[in-house]
Amino acid sequence: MGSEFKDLKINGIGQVAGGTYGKIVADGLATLNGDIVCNSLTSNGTLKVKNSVEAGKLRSNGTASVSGSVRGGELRVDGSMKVEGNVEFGKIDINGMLTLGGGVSAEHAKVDGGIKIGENAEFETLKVHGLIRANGMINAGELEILLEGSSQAREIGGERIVVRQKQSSPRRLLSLITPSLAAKLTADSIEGDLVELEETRARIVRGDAVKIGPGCEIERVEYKRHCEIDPRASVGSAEQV
Amino acid sequence: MNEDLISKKELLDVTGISYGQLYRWKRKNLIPEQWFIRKSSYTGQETFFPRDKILQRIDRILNMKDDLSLDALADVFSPGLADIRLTAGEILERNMVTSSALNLYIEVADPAAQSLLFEFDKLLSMYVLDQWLQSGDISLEEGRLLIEMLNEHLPRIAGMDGGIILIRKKGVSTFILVANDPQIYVDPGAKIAAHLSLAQCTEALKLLINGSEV
Repeated sequence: MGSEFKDLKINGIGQVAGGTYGKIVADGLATLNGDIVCNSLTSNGTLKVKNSVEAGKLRSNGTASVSGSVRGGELRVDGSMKVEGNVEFGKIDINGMLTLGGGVSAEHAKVDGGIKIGENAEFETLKVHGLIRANGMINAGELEILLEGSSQAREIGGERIVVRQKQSSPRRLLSLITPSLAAKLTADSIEGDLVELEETRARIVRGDAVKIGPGCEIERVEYKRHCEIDPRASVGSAEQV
Repeated sequence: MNEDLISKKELLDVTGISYGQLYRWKRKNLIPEQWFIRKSSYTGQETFFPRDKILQRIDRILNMKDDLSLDALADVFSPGLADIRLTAGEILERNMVTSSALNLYIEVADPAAQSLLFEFDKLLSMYVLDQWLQSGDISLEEGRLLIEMLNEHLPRIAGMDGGIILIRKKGVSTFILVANDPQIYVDPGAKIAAHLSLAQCTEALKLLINGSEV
């Protein structure tokens, strides 16, 4: 996209009509009506999107809510963003919270804080420090979760899946008082080539090489090559298949 | 629909692929979402696949992944129509259809021979025609009927996982074009004489266009 499209700057309170733009910068409270296509959209403050946005770069500092879907090249959220539809970007970087009603797909995603997904999630790589919740399936080439907060997914599948608990987190103490705040991952099934888990509760874990670490409660483990179970984990049965 | 299903576990056993590969191919859209069927089994919820479709697909992927990138493969498998136009000469050169099918097609669909280039949906019609003429499932006369029907209706189900069915009853033949390729049943006097999946034809045709062996 060239720069033949108009740039737009909003200071204070403003509205943007649907259409194609170059660069949109909004400081304050901006409402976007209609579908928007733009090279970049930066919001500092509050952003309300009534329809869908396609942006080369989308950046929100503060709060943002989208009634439709967002897609594009890069998404960065500092603060919180709520999307009712789907989220589809090359790269996603979240510092804060991203909540979406639909599904999400990205080549690379990094989450510091949390991500809540209504449907399925697909990533080539995903690193989460905090929590992740998906009503559907998380499919990731490389998935790394550093647990801080209660996470869950129906299914997790991928090549390399690593779940760890943060050492010496104040949540450990908290979890003794309120178990629902415990930093734990709950999933029905977890399947991957290499699976390394800590503090995870699952019905079944299947993999080529599986390592079940402390705090895990797994009903059944099926592995091909290698399996290691920490004495502080509880595993119903482990079978080489 | 009572298709023969295969469990994920059995699939991995039979094909020798890993969980990682399966999930990777799903992310790359090499395996359609609809093939992942979740069902309850005695061990809880498990994922099943339509046996014939998935085994054929995985066999294809394994055979071709050295020659084509995963993205190019995804293109081959998508039911969407490829953006391509070929001349009659190119079609014959690539052995996509026989010359008798091509001639019949031109005679019926474009008697004035006005269009020199054929788009993908026309290639697909020719391909279906050629398959059935060669297998002897249809006569030349039925072939004409088929071309007229496909010309009229094929664009309406473009990109869908459709099917085409030939039903005969008392020597009268009828072609039916369906979206989503369901299982169909007919009365005892009628017979399903031939049935082709358009998705599979599209896939085979794209492979011919790309110059790979099927």
